[in-house]
Amino acid sequence: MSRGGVLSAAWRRVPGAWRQPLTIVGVVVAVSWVLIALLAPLISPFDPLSQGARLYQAPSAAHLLGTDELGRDVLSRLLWGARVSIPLAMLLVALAFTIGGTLGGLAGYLGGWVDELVMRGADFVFAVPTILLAMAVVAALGPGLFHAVLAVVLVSWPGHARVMRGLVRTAMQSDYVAVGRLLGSPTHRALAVDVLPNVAGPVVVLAALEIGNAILLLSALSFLGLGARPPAAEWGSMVSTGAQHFEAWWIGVFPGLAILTVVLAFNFLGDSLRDAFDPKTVIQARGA
Amino acid sequence: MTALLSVRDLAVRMDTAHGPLTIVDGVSFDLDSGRVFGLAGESGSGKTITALALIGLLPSGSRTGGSAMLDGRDLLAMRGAPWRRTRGREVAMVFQDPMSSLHPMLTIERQLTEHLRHHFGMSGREARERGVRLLTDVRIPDPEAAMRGYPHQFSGGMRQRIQIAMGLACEPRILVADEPTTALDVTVQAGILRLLRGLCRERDLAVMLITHDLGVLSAVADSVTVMYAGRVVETGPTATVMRQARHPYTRALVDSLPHPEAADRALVPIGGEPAGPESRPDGCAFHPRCRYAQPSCRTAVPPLVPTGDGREMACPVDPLVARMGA
Amino acid sequence: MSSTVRSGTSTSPPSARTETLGAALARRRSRHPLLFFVGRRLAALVLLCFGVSIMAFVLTHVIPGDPAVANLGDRASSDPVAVRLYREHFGLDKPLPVQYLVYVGNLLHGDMGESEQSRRPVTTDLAEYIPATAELAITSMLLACALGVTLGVIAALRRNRLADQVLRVVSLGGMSTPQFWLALVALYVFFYRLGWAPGSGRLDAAVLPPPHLTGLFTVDSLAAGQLDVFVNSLQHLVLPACVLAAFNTGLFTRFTRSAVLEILENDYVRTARAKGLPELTVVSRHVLRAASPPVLTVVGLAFGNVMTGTVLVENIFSWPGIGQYSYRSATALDLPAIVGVMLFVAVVYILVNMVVDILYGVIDPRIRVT
Repeated sequence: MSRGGVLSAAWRRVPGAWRQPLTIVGVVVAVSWVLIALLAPLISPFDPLSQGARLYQAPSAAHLLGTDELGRDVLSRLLWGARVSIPLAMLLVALAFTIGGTLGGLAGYLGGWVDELVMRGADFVFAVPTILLAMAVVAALGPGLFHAVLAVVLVSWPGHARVMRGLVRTAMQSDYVAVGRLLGSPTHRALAVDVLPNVAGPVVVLAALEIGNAILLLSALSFLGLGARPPAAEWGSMVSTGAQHFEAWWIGVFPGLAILTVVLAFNFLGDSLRDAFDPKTVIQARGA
Repeated sequence: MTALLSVRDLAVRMDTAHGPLTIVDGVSFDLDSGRVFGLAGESGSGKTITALALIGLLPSGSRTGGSAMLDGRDLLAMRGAPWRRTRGREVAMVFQDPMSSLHPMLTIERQLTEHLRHHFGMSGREARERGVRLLTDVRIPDPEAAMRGYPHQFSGGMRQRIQIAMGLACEPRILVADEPTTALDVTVQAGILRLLRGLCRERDLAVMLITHDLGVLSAVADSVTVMYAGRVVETGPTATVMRQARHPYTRALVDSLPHPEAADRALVPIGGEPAGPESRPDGCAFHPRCRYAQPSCRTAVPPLVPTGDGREMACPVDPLVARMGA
Repeated sequence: MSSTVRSGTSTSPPSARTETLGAALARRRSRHPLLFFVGRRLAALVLLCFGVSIMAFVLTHVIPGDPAVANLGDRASSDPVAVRLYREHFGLDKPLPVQYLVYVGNLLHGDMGESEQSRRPVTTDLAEYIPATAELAITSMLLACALGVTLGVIAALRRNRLADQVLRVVSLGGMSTPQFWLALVALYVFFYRLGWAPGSGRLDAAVLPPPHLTGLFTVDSLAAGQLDVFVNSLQHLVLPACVLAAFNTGLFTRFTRSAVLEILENDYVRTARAKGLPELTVVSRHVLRAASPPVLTVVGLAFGNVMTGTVLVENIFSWPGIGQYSYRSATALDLPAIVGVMLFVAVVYILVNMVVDILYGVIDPRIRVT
């Protein structure tokens, strides 16, 4: 078989949900950034902390994205910034999902006062804007990246809780669980076997969207000086520096663009996956 | 007497997940004022699509063929503003499920009068009076209070009457009713059917009644056209068709109706499943399920031929003859 | 098509014997549905307020090691008199639940503590900065709503065609752009380079604010007939309001699109078209009204986003609102101030959601019965 034939055959095996153009773009860009985060020490042209070069250099052949106010290479700091934002965001989402998913799952499964308690808690957190709550937590605990992460986890868990609770409740009311109960198999077994595979889809969607939000929030906190501390190369704080040096626009613009592309990639991914998992977007023609 | 609406060779093709399909394949019939025309068939026969084609509400990606002449104008060829003027005003449609066909958040008054005011430029007061009169005509109790109500406050039968009133608001010449009683209790169905027939006679309306239930048609329809798999298989005056069905499918349909006087006899179902448009058999579409199928039925589509007693039928094998001969 | 048999709603007459309380309530409820509806929502509001106050209490009095030190700040806490006064005022020697009651009691008297930066009661600070943020927030919400809903309807009607794909990318882009960065870029392009918009503040330095009526300069200047002040305040408002609206426009577009898509599948849209109504009427009256409830849901979310955004945007545009106030307080670790802002915003958020809930009942008559 020709090489083209093998490729197109493999392409057809990929489920339709993942073949949408936006999903592909999202996956490619997101994966690229993850790779950058992993490989930054290898591909970065300069040391992000070294202040050797001339200050405020515009983008040039030597420094593709210019240098900042302390003579550091912007491109290198950009690449290393990925090592801060992306893993932290993923860790954050994993934490929020674990806490929120467990609480939400329990709420959906047990119902009653557990459900009430968890949902009221979620409502309270929703009532306060994310940044304010994060700032309050940081103010109570003290600044620093770790506290910022904690604050964002605190702000994000309700979203996961609500989704999980909804999924568990729908599954509990579904026919196959009811039939399973009738046949005598315990509910938790039915949940594990039937529910979890169906849960995977919406959870992946939410995770993708939440990673984007986490990056936005973390960089915002760092921009305000409440997260990462200098001289660490973090995108938000780089933009903040850029704000103080307007003429050297490259200092602030490129890190912001980096944030934009990463978050956009994850949002593309999450959004088109959600469309694909939602049966309502399938167009059917019915005879009557 | 010339027919009010002449439909000739109506065909509808749609692009579906299975490729382009012919849903309706050359259907012809006439609608006369003051008469109830019944269109019967199972789901998948194309009867609703036929109605939607007449009123111009086919889903996008559909293409029509043939003609539907109303006063010298071809309904199928009309587009845009002229079509919107005809729709609702000269040709009105009543749909199957009145709960989902009425807007849940608009008052009855609004839903009854908005097209009145749009088509005729009536004032609010005039339209409201007309609405009250319409509700009275369809026997809704306390019409003034009903005007202020919302659809969810009424029972299924009432909602269907409201829908009929809505259809009649602009005094159309043709009323198409798609399964108007299927979503209703059996006890309520008779009232709706009586209402439809009464309105038909009083207003010299042409009513096209679409249903899968031959029992309904036998009660109110003046003429019956039976469709199967997008084609007409038999057509004629109701009494004749019901008493002496000649097409094997019609025969089977009539036989499968529960008859009160034959309570001891077993019900006779029609074997097999109705074929959807994507898996239509060659030749006569009914032949896989037909008792009298012959080799020629597999290849040639039988034409619709008059049988002499005001009927037309599309089957080379006459079951009455075949039975007598066998 | 399957058929479903439906019976209508029926009301059974009350029995001759004594009714249970539940039945009596149900009967009263069916007579005054809207009243009951509002009453239930108010009760939920009160409950939520309690929750938020608990959260604030936890942050100010439970988490920090020494609440007095944390709330008074570095300078004041070195003064033993101030510390003692604080302890007495908030009953720090008493058990926690009593402390909470004291805290709530103080709150209800409008005492949120004193901001250590301004040395004024937090409530005074808030009163000064709220109007500026209100003006910004309202403007940007209106913008986002109008633009977002319109674009969402267009995207739904042109589903899967080019316009829809483009709008999808644009709206996702709006939701992916860091607001602080967008503000800076906007400032750089429109102020620094093009000089089209002013760079900071609510008015030019030379222009005097209009006589105080609402605190919103646009409204007040119009009320006082000062057109030049009105124009100037608008010029200052444009850029930050647009930046702030970016995220929510994307949000509204997405939500409106999916809401309208769902509505379009409904039979009553087909009925409206079958009546020969013009497409514009079908969309504006039938579709939009049915799509209002889900879109209204987003308003509450959007409000939260706006408040988050003001912290960043006010900072960059030197807009003297509570966003900037809360940021200053956070960097100075001024705990009472931050918590004060949090409480205030939470209460407003709850109020906004309550209004939305009431609007649900107004728009959708079926909800009044449940």
